[in-house]
Order: sequence, then structure tokens, then C-alpha cells
Amino acid sequence: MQGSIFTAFSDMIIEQMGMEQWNELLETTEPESKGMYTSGDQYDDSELVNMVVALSEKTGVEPEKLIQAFGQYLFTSLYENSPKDVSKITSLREFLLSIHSVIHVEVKRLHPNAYLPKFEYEDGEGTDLIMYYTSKRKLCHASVGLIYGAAKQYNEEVTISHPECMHTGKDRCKLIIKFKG
Amino acid sequence: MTNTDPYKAAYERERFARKKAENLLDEKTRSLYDNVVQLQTTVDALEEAQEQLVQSEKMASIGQLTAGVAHEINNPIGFSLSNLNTLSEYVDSFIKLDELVSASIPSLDSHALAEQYPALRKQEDIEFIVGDVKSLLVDSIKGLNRVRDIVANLKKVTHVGELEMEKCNINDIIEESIKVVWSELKYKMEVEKEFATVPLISCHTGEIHQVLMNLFLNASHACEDKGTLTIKTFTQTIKEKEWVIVQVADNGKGMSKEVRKKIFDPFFTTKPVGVGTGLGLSVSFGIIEKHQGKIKVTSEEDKGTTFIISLPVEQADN
Repeated sequence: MQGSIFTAFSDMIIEQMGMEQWNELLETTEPESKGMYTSGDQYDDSELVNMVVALSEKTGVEPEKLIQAFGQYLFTSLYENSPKDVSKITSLREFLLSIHSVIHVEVKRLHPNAYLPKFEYEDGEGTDLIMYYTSKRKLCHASVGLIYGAAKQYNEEVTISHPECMHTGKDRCKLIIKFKG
Repeated sequence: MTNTDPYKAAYERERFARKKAENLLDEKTRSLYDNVVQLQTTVDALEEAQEQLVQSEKMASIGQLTAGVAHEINNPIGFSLSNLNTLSEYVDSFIKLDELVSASIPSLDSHALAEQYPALRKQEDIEFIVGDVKSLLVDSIKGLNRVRDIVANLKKVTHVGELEMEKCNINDIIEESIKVVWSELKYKMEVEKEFATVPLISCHTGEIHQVLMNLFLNASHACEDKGTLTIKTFTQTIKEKEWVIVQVADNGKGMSKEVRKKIFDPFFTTKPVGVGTGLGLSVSFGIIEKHQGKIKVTSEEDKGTTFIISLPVEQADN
């Protein structure tokens, strides 16, 4: 997994829970990288998974909730580092529809070896947008968080339901994004 | 003095520096990537231009050679063919003479010839010669005619000579060409046509037919048992000049880069000896050049081959 995900994760923990918690997390999970993350490198997925599990045990918050919260935090961090092209996008819907054509293209420019999830789109009821998420990482909850993060960025309010999930045996996750207003 | 933990302050500074370094790395990577893409496009364009240049040069020199050879061969073939035809007539006369004499022998009675003629006939095996001489001549004439056709094709490889051009609709020519080779295609190839409305172009219908039929048959030969032949036409403006483009694509076995570089060379063939002359594509190349057009090929092994013919809507005056 890309290092920028890990640096954002460490920033979030340090910001919200303090340096001691971050150090404790690293001591508990003993990641191979020893927690020395830099955005350009790739790290093992399990390092993040182990930390989320440990954090969930400590706080009693479900891992899915933690991942979603992290997704939301991650959006801001990634958005700040994105190139100018991305800031031309002016609405959440436009942003969501251009994940593959703009965002992923940018990611590939920087990290040609990065593995990226796949999104398929469908129109839902009214102004609803349906997104189907497929990834070997099954980080659908992070996607939900990222979409909430994006909504905040564009000052829009949405609710997201997740009726079908890869974690319950489906081939892909179905995310229904309801736009308000 | 502030109360801030000095280690925390140092951490914040280091973190800031790391972020900055990461950003710089991203920026560098982006611009490097853009440069690489640009370089790659330039290299691709250069490679293509080089290939085309080599091809035209090669065709020009080969063309000159073949035109010279063709011209030199043409003369002796001409008179040999004409002589052989006359010789056939002469032989007919001799056979008639022999028939007459053979028929008259019984009426000669005691004349010396009545014995000598049949004896000589037997000695020389005239019976067999009469039967064989005709087929010898027919085969020789056939053989020479084949040489003459090859020579005529060789002349087409070079774009010498003027053509009678007329305004034609390329879509109609394609339809007709498909009809002609349909018996070869129908059990093997699925033909998909995507024709756009295209302007009329000046061309020699017969010659363009020859090119298209050639490509269709090659496409069929490139597919093992079942294949798809996709023919597209459309217009394209390149450097303010309008072109009619014909794309002929198959999903057959494709070819390697080495083969691709040679396919327009006269006598180059991947077919077994005796199956192809290796002139089809070199003749096609010559014909398209004569129309001031371009013929290009892209191919991937096991994926298929696409020929792209571009013909100008307005031909420049020579």
C-alpha cells in the first residue's frame, strides 16, 4: 500500500490521540517498517490492518468505523497534495465521476506500481449516484470515509448507504450516495 | 523561553521538513513523468518516420531495379511467346502433312516410299511426337504467360506510368471487392463493416480492387479457422489536407516486427513455396503510392493485423 496512506494515518493518530498512543500502537503491532513511513514508498497492507485491529481493541470502536473515520481524514491529506488539475473540479458529483479519469491518472503518474480500486457507476433514484467498488483490499469503508471527506471539501451534504458489501460475499460493494439540497 | 517541549518542537520541524521533501519529490516525479511521456511520443513518431523513410527508399531502389529487369525481360518474352504461337501453327501444318501422307500410303503399292515412310515414322516414334508436341507447346505458352504476368506486376511495384483516374466512392469499391472474394471468405470470416459517408476520390477502380482483395485474402489466411474481418472507412484531416481512410483489420495470428518490416518487399512471403508469389503487398504499396496515398500496418502477434490505407481527397497535380 502506498506510503502516503500510512503517513496520513500516523498524522491522524498523533493529532487526535497523541504521540504516546502512536508509539504504543507501533509497539503493540511491531510493523516491519518500524513505523518509519514516507509517502513515496510502498508498505505491507497488514501493517495498517494490524494497527486498526489493535486500535479497535483498545478503544472498543468497530474497525469499520475507524477505517471510515480514517478515510475522511485521508481525503483532506490527499487533496492538499494533489496537483492543480484536481482543483478544477467544482462539485462532489463531478469529483466522484472523475476518480478514474483524473485522480487515478495522477496517482499512476507518481506511483506507476500502485494498485488502484475499480469504480463503476449507475444512476440511482432521483439524484442518487450508485457506485460499485471493487478492490483486492476490500477497503470499502475507507471509500465511504473518503466520499464523506470529499463532500465536506465541496461543502455538500450526502448520506451514503452500503447495502451490498464484499465482506459479506458480494463480488463488489454497492454504495448509494444520496445528495441533499 | 516558552514551555513547549523541545522534542515536540523538533518533531514538528522534522515533520514539516519531511512533508516538504515529499512534496518536492512528487513535483519532480510529475515533471519527470511528463517528460518521459513527451519523449516517448517523440521517439514513437521518429521511429514511425524512420520506418516509412526506409520503406520508401527501399521501394524506390528496388522499384528501379525491378522496372529495369522487367523491361529487359519483357522483350524476349514477347517474341518468344509470339514465336511459340507461330510454331504451334507450323506444327499443325506438319501434322496435317503427315496425316495426308499416312492416309495415302496404301495407294502407293510398290513405290519405295510405301515402305520407307512407315519405317521412318516408326523409327522416329512420330506417333508419340504428334501426341506430345501439342501439350509441350501449350505448357510452354502457359509458362511464358505466367512470367509475363509476374513482370507486369513487377512494373506495378514501382509507381511509374500514368493511370486513368475516375471519381469513385471507396465504400462501393470495397463492397464489390468483398463480393469477388466472398467464396473464399464466407465459411471462415465474419465480415464487419463500419462505413462512414466519405467524399469521392480520384482512383483507378481496378487497381484499388486489386489492393483490397489482396488485403481481404491475406486477412483470411491470417486466421486459422474462424476470424473477424473489420473494414472501416472514415475521413480524417491531417495538416489541413483531407484524407479518406480505409482500415482493414483481422484478429488472426499477427506478425513479428521483423516480418512487418519486410511485408512490402517484392517476393517476400511467409506462405509456403508455390502458394504466394510475394508480390501482393508490394504491388499494393506501388498502387497506393501511385494514388498519392499511404499504406501502413500495425500488428501484434496472436492479436491480429490492421492495414491502414489513406487516400487523398484532392490529389496534387504532378
